[in-house]
Amino acid sequence: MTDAPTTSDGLLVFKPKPSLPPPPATTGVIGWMRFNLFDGIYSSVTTVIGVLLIGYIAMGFYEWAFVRAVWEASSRNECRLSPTEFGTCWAGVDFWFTRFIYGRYPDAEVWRIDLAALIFILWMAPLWLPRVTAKVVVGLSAVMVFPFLAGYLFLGGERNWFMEIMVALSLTWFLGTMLHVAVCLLLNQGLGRLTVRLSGFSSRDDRFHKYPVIVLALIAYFAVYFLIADWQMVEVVPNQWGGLFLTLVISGIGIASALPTGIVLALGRRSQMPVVRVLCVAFIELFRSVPLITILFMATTMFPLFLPKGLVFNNLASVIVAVCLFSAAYMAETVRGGLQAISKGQYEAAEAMGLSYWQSMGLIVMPQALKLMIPNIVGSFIGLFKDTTLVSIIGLYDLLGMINAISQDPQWIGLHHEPLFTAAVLYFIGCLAMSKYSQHLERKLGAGDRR
Amino acid sequence: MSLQTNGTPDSIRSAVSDEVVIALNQVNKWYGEFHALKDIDLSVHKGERIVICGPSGSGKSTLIRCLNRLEEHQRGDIVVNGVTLDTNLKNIDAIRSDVGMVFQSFNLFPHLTVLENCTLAPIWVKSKSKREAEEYAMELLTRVKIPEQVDKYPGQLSGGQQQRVAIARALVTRPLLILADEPTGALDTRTSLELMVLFQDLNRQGMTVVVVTHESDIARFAARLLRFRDGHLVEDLQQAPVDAAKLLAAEALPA
Ligand SMILES: Nc1ncnc2c1ncn2[C@@H]1O[C@H](COP(=O)(O)OP(=O)(O)OP(=O)(O)O)[C@@H](O)[C@H]1O
Ligand SMILES: [Mg+2]
Repeated sequence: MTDAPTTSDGLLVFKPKPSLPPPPATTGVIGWMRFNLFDGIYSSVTTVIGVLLIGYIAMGFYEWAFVRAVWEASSRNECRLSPTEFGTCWAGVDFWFTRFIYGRYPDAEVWRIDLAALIFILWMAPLWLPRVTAKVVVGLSAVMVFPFLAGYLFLGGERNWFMEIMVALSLTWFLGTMLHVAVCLLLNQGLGRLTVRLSGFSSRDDRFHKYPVIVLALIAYFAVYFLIADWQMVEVVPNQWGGLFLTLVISGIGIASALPTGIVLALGRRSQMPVVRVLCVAFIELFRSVPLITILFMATTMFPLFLPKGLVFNNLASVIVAVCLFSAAYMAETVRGGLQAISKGQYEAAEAMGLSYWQSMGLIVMPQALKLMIPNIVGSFIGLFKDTTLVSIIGLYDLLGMINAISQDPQWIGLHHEPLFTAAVLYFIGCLAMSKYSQHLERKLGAGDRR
Repeated sequence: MSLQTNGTPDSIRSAVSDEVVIALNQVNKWYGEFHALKDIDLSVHKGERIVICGPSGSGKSTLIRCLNRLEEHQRGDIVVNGVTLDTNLKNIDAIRSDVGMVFQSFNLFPHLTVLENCTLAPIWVKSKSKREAEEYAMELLTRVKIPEQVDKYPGQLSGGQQQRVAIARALVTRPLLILADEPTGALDTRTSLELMVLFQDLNRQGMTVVVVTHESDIARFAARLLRFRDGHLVEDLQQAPVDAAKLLAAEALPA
């Protein structure tokens, strides 16, 4: 009560207080541990038991993976007779490792897979660079346009007219994207804006700005088209594909196609038109009620029976189609769940503005629903990635198929644990990456509207 | 024929024309078994400024939601701006782009910033350029006193601020008719008064304004008052409106 401001007649006077920064957090490491780990007798006992258990398991693993490890050997027997006895045979994994990754792809051509992977990484990397504009176009094209270039790199051989067009398009797009990224990083403006400025169109009306961009794109496309017209690579038939590479091809195509087809099916299921609705419901329910392995068997054995004689559909193509249909059906239900979470008021506000059905879906409903669905969508992507192991049952040599193959190699016969552990690590890395990316995306998209 | 009462001061006399914007003939609406609108007859001329009041649950929102067919009526005819509302979807789209709607629950788009909320309809429905849309949106957002919030998301605004965004969003398409459901529900007295000045200004420029409210404070600014009870239109009366701008000026002096 000493220096509260008062007037001469003793009344309290209002004096505005300045805004202050929030107080700092007070607890340190010790405080955190006391509060979280040793907060009372039960908590302390649980902590001690937990730490002992973790230590025991870690010791066992350390012993198996490192103490008994044998890195240099030319057969499994050599590992067994090693000084530590029943040595853990990492030598076999090392010897077969390129096979785990590339399957039976010819050694001389493996660079094509590496190149495609590098292109994909370069294509996706700009999504993490804050200064790059038009990220949606870059990201979408990496999923929709890149597969044609990758497909040709993997397959090689002669291109038919369709692939001729698409490979040139894909390559042009990639080079354009890289140029766009470079321009963005150096000049802090998009390639489109720069083109407009250099062509002297910036003084014209906004409507004409697209013309110099279109002309530039066409010139670039035809230049690439004629430059690569004579370019051809050795054909590598899909039967030689395998390992992690094959796993990524199948699950990658499944993942990329699942979301768009899932959205279409989900919208169809909510449609006012009875025929569309019934077809979508039938498709979704059919594929959701049959196990994937059954669908895969049907795809490889029965599907060819329906095809006209002479049209040979290879196993891989049938499997990919089957995986796509299966994942689309699951994705449709995930999307439908997300759509139901959007309140009626949002639809009404969009309608009342005069937005058309597709506008309100694309601008209002889907962006909100997709954000809500990210955890579920990524969940089904992870599921799909792991489910592709089933293709090893129908005779494709995916990662798991190659793991089984090593144990039948006369030199390494019976070697199971180490390769399986390796596969587990590879799958874990893949799934963890997807999971982490989804969390990053959620945080980024959810930044504005938390309340 | 002018519908204006004689006592109206010139400054807020709106340009009421003979043209009918809303015509309802024996309109009935049921929600399942519940009879929400009963034999409503109403005709509103272009340039009128109307307030609809009545107790909670009396059918006020239902009526204005029928006017742009967010709800379907089962019997009777509704003609808005010369277009009969029926199952023909083309007609409805034509109406909606010329009718602005302020929802009782705002219904802002949470994934878009305030400015994006306001420029969506001009850009996608009215095919305005982004620059043009943003200019007019900023003008309106300044009128409703939230120009400094334009880059925030609706979830980061207070209730009253959200309501003002909803009003600006309904006005950016320069609609012929604005339907506002409790547009002052979350606003303080002074901000409500400023909003009434805005509505009177727009009305003077020829916009037809229909406001639902249960605050008698707000009702006195309109030239015509409709009262609802249990789904009936029980009262339709002309009155001498108060000039909101003058009131605001008078109030501002002592402060
Ligand atoms: N979707 C609906 N389904 C069933 N009944 C409804 C629905 N919407 C409104 N009603 C009913 O119709 C009646 C009128 O509702 P309305 O929303 O028009 O009231 P209101 O006059 O706007 O009330 P308030 O002042 O509380 O907003 C209410 O009794 C309400 O319960
Ligand atoms: Mg209401």
